[in-house]
Amino acid sequence: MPVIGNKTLVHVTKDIESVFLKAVAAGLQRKLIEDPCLSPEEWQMLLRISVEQALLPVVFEAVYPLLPDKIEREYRAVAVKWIADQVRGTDAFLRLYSNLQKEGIEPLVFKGIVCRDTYTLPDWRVSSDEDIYIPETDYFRFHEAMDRMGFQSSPPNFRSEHETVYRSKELTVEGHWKLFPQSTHRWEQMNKLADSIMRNAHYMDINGIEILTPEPTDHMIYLLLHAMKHFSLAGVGIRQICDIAMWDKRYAVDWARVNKTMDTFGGTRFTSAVLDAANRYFEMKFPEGWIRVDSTDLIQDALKGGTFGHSSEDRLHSAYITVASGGKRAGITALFHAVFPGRKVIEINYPWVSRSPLLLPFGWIVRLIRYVGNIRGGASPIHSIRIGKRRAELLQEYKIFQWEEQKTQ
Amino acid sequence: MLKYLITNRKYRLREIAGEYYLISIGDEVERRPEPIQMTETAAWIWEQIEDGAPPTRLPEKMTAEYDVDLLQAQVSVRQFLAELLRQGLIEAAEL
Repeated sequence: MPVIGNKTLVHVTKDIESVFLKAVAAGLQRKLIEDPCLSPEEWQMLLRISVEQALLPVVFEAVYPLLPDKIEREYRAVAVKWIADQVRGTDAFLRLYSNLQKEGIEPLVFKGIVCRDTYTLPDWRVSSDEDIYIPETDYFRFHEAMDRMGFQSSPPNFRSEHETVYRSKELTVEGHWKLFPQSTHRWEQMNKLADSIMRNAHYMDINGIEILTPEPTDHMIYLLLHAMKHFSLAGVGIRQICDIAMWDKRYAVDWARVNKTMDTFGGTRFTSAVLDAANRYFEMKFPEGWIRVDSTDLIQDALKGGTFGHSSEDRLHSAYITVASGGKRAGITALFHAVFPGRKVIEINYPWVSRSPLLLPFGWIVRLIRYVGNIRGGASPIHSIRIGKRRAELLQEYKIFQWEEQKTQ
Repeated sequence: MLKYLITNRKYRLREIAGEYYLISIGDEVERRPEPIQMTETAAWIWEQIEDGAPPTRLPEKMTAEYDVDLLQAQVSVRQFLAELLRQGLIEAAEL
């Protein structure tokens, strides 16, 4: 075990993670933290976690006077760039939305800009894209409009995908015709929420543009289901917990309805742990009527995982294993199932397999090539299995292990 | 005609960790990709112009806000406005 001063690396990491969480909480309120007396190396570690969690601007705002000059200059440049990119991204999105409205197209906007609006410093909550939803029946009109406005994209694959990405020089938009992937029964059930979310949608004013967005309780339910989706794959990020805390502080959420809906999807225990974390670290009021579930393991997992559990190739790849394990097998067997799943799972990613049962082995080969590519890209199978196993245990702890049933099972 | 000043709408002012930056947006990004760092008083003057304060009132308002005499304030405001006009960050308009 590496030793730094009188402490092991594990102890140092835990101290820094604790300072990180305090810095996030302070930064969310534009306050400074008390000097935690970190060494330059420890500050670097803390700021690296902030970068992994996409929370550098928030953390930097809370710690900048305490940083050694060289580190302050280095990370200030990054924080300023992130914020500038966000200011530009927000402006570009609002211009796009206004142009779409002129064409009679009004997508439902969720996450990114809508969450950003609840932050004390909105542009400090950065995101790489904006998410919009348009029902499948109206989607092609939107797709054509985006094409006319110069966005690059792939044609929407309504059969097996749930979104397509649109890119321009100044903005990336994820266009969804389904709120969740179509790859599992549970997510398909969640997709059925879209109709009522659209019916209840309301307008909110952001910088003078009226955008259509889910009403507050619907949006909270979406944020929690989205967090649960990420948690069941590679991990939930600290910023997702911040979004939930900030949303609750801004809006009157009907927590009884949230409870009922999350229960339908087997997500009350997970939600309760998220609320515990939001309450413990980010001063959100713990809702009445909820039974508190300890969030220690959830937070530890989030700290190791980065924004959406994407902090390393190993961890990203472990998602295959966690999913394949269904919370039960998480070893060589799960690895085998991850690479060689059933025909219907293969068809989701490789629709051409559905043309003939004889094409299934070719689907496996393509998947295997991608898997080997991941290993060459830096993933270690042994480490991935270890993370996958740990994450499968976490899914059990929060009782969402049956959640990832594949359509084939 | 009474003259007043307007800020260039292709810029946004942000205070980031105790320092002030003007950030270009839209098609202005190609011309000025890097955020422009400003002093606190410069940012204050920018905000005053954004709020529609007449330029002639700025030195007097500055003396109320900062520890400067009227002459110093007049010089600072004049110099800064000239620089902003030169750089196309503000423009004169008529009421």
